[in-house]
Amino acid sequence: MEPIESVTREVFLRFSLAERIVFYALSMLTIGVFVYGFYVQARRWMQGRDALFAWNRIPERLLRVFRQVLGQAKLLRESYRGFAHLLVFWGFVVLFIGTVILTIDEDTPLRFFYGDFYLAYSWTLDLFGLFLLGGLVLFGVRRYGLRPGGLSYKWDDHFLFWMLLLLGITGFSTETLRIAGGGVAFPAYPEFERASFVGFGAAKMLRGVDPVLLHGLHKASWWVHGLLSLGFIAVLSYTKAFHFLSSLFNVFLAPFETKQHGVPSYIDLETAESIGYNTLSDFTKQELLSLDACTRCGRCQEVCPAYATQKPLSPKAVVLDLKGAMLEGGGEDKPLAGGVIMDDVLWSCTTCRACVEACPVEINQMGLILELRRSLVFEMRTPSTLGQSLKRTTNSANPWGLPNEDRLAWAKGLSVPLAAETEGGFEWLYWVGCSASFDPRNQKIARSMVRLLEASGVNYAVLGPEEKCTAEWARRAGEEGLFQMNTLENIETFKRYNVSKILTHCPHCLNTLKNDYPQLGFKAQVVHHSTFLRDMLKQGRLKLGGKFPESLVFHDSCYLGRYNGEYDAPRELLHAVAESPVREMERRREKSFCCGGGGGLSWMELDIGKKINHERIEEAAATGGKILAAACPFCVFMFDDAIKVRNLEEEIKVKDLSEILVECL
Amino acid sequence: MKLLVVAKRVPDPEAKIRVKPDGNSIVTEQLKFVINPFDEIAVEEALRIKEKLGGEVVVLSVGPAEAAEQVRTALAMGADRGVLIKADGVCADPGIIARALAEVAKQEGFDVLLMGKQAVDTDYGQTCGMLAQILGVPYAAFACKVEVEGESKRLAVVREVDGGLETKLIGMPCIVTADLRLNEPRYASLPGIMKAKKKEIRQVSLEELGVGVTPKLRVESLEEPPKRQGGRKVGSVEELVRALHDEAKVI
Repeated sequence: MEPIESVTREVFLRFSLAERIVFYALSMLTIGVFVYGFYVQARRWMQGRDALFAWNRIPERLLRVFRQVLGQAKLLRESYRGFAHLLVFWGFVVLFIGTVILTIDEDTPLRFFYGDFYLAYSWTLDLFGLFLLGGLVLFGVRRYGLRPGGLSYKWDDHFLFWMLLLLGITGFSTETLRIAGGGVAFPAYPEFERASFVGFGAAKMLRGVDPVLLHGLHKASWWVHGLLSLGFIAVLSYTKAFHFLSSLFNVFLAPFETKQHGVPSYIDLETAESIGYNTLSDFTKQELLSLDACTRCGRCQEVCPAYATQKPLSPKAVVLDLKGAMLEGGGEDKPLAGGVIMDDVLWSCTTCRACVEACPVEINQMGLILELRRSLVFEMRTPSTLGQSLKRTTNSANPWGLPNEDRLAWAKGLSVPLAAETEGGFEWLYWVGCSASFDPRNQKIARSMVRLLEASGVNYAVLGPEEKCTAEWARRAGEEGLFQMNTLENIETFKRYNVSKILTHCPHCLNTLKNDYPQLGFKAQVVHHSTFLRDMLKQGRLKLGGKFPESLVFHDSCYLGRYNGEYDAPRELLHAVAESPVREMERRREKSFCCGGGGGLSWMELDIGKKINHERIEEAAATGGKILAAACPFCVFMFDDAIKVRNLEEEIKVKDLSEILVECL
Repeated sequence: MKLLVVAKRVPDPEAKIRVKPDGNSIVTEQLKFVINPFDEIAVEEALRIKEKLGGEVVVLSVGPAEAAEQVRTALAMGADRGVLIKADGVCADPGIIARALAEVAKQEGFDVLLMGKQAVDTDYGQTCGMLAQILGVPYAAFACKVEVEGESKRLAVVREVDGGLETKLIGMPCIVTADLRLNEPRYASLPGIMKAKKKEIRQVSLEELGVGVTPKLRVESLEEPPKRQGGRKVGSVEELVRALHDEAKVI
């Protein structure tokens, strides 16, 4: 028996010098081809603007890589696919690192590949080799057996699957034949190779086979494995395997600023020659890279409310079509907005941000759609109903087109403190928003809020006619000019009253005041009424005596939940007053399904496929809940409309949180 | 194809209009102004004709210096250049406006001159007819569809009439006024309007055009419509019939 310190693996077992030279020459060639391929891909990103890397928030970026790449956090939201990918990912990573370690020992003066190190190494690599194959089997069952809908496969997908499978199998077969055939320095079936437990176990089946045959088979298996590995690396940049790099880069490089709260990029209107994305050079380098990061996994498409209701939009297709344009060097013969990506596709997006949330590799599908919409609006391809609302907002400072001086119509009969008439200032500005100011249904929300604020003894005021539409929907529909004009006017008003705390029941207003306004130089504490009232309740300032008798089901608003991470406050409020347990829909929290009213779509008539609000109201009604609790005036009027059109008045009603709470005062 | 199109500056039709205490003008502070919506339709139609057949679209406006905003909006929509005929306080007299437009139209020359069927501020609907008379060209009003027969230099203008559609063929040069359903005007974005500042707006005065400014029409007084009275619920059909017969005296 060999002394344990000297055991190792003979890597180039029975190789002639010529064979070794051939292998090294091919390795060099492989590296050359890989580098060239990478250069070809990366050069395409370089036609974009801005630096590829912003050199900021590096710890956060590393944390994101840690969670989403090493931890596969987003992929693991779905157990089957996520687990399979986790196995393949870590299997591949460890085997790759193993190969690098082997190379270091073999091709540098360092020598450490023997003894205990070798035993631990071999055991680990066998284990992770099994993970790789196990993950691939799970993928194979799904892809070739279960065949889930909505996914189509290209040669590329098959190539990656079979390539990894062959690499795994030939790796193990090489090990098996080496152990069964014996080495030069070591006999067949050496005791220490029990550490290579997969190969050792498999080798047992080859006992009694002619050693010469085994030696020949080993070398053949070695070469097949080696050449497949080299070939795989050589063509990596041209295949789906490129996502090993592009996705990793993108997870690290994707910006936080614009992505986190779905904030569109800032445009300096004084200097901008054109608005929005027209050609590939309008994209940032990182955005072009992100197109290459896409693996066609389809998670964005699965959660897209437009796709689910037969609209022409699939976020995945948008990314892939843009990528196609990039590969063709395109954008010159066909405009990107309205050409490569058609108008109807772009106008189908509700800006619900579900795609961005779902993407495991940090692509900002929605951000790209918004940039292309800007281009459509600048090129005057705005749908006419949307154009009407934009004109109304330009002229009347609200999309209803009603005189802005009537902004307090909702407060008839109530004594609401007006900022202009409040002596000695006020603590909280209650931002009412256009919907609760002008929509007869939603005026009840503002009236309820006032009663709750009074019951809690809050020192507040409203702006009344001085409040102007935030035009956040206009911004997300692509009209940056109107957004900036109204924003600057509102900021003027805020400064006049020294506003530092803003309370609003509208998640759209919340998001834009909180996350868009800093782009134009205004920062304040902006709080949604769900958070605010929850805190009032906790502090004992808001006392709710009654219980809400009817069964409740809660709908997460996109702009409150996915955009601003507030999932719990509304639920806590409902739990506090509900007599029976609050019901939940299947699609909730991060996966909540849009009401269909965001991104300017409340102001558009897009008559394609099923209405998104109808789809959602059916889901809500199916829970058996009698009252659909919403936390957004847009959701309220979208659902109110759907209930009327679908004749569901007997089954379900929609109420804002404030309306529910006020009944329990 | 040389296309002239008129864009009048009018108060936003959705705004609340108030009469000044003097009783013959309106409060303009805080009031937003827009292109007369029918004129906007005319601008859109002119642009569509140009996009199909090529040529030039020149937008004309008679009004105060601020009317440059409306000209600029039309330029942002795609018109090539503008002519602003500066005239303060005479906009209520269609005769003066028609003569001013006629002078510019003669200077410019045109194949088709388009405008709205009426302006939503005064609702006279006079200017187009007067202009056609002064220029001595044919005139088709209330167009809901316009087809240009380029070679024969004719326009087929479809008009909505009681009980159907009427198509008129008129030779160029001619004047066409736009009705509501002719098209849906495109939305010119604010950045687009800013960019349109680069386009030329020629300014002329009524004096330079040789148009007298003595109005033949004088506004005597303006008054706000009476406040709407609340409705009343009736208990039965009999009561309703009685109320309509005895009080409203409509049956």
